Amino acid sequence: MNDPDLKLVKKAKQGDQHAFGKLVKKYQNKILYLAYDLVGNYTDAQDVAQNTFLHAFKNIPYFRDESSFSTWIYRIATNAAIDFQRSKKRRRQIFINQSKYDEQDQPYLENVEDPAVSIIKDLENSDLKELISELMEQLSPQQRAAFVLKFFHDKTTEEIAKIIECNPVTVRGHLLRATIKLRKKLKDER
Amino acid sequence: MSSCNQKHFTVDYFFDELTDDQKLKYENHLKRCELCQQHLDALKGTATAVKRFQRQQPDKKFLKNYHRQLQEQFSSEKKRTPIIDKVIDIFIRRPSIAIRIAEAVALLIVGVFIGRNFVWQSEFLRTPLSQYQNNYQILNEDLLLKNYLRETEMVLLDVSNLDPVEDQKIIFNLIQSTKYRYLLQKTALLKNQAYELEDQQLIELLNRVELILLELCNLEEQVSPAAIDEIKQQLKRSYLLMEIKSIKHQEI
Repeated sequence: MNDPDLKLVKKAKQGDQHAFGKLVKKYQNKILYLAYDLVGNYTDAQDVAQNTFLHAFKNIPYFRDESSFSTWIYRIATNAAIDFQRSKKRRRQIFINQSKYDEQDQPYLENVEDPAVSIIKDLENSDLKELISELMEQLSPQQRAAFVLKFFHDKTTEEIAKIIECNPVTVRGHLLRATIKLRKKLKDER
Repeated sequence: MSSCNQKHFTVDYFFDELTDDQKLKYENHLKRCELCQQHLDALKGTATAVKRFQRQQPDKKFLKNYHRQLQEQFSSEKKRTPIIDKVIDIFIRRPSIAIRIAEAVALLIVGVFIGRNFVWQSEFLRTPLSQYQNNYQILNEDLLLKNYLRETEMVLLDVSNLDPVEDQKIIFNLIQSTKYRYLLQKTALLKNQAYELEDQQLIELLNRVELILLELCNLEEQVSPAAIDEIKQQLKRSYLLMEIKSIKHQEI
């Protein structure tokens, strides 16, 4: 396998923190955006990204060269984001039970504006954002991950299969279901 | 048409992940399959929408803070040199079977060393002679005699230096410790040996030691200064200490 990060990974595995620092620098924004695409706000995305790098740092000695470093770090980040979403959902359900709050009123991207975001006042984009966020709400964590990795991060089907640890056929199924749902939403909008 | 066995190729076709051969076959299929056409349209629509969609960018201050925090997080991790890490890897984290066996053997050796020097030895001293009598044959006879004489000399020296009035506690401790009894047993054992070897000088010496030791054992229940004085006098008259000293310096 031709992994462009192989040299740095080898050094990092031997305890070279400088090499690991270079890997962090290379992937810090990509992982932050992936986490944002999956959890929906930058404050939580930052936590997910930091946990991802911490996990990677602690486990890099056990990293085997069966996949590329990029696939490995994306897998850690995706799992961290899915776990974060699940725990958040559990917390929210407890809150809902307490306050009899209707869960359907809570969109994927919360209505409250993320203070970390510089607001781009683009109405068309905000409509689209709403649509996509609604779509995300309807997808399972794996479907959501497949959709994000394909359309926002340009990963191949094989890579996605490795990242979310499932069969490539399943990935194709997830993508088709997600796109059909979005298509339907777009038609309804018109 | 509700199902198509080639529908999954639509994704790979759309994202250009098919080989030329597969692509040609799928294009032929696409002409006839309405479901795959619908899927392809859905994919095209999604891709167009996503293309138009712009991800909200994080605030510059936020991004800077995020980078700084990452840097801080990793600099706080304990730094290790590659050599130390390698050593930890070899011996602790991922030891091979050979290393594991070597570690177990080393641990066993250390255990035996500690045991022999700090546990078994003291146990040996505390064990009544009757219990290790069976091992007597393997002990060096000369060494046993030398040890015996050394022990006897020490006890007799203690006794000769006792103050019957002031050292009541020491007397009590001496008597309480059953060491005298062991010495008595050892004396009997060596006497048997001496009889076998027909060593008259040794037999006579052991007889005199036995007498003093018996007197000491009898003190167990009646510790009076007079009794101590009597034993001290007996010891002085017997010249046992001098004799033991001279024997110790001779070839036995």
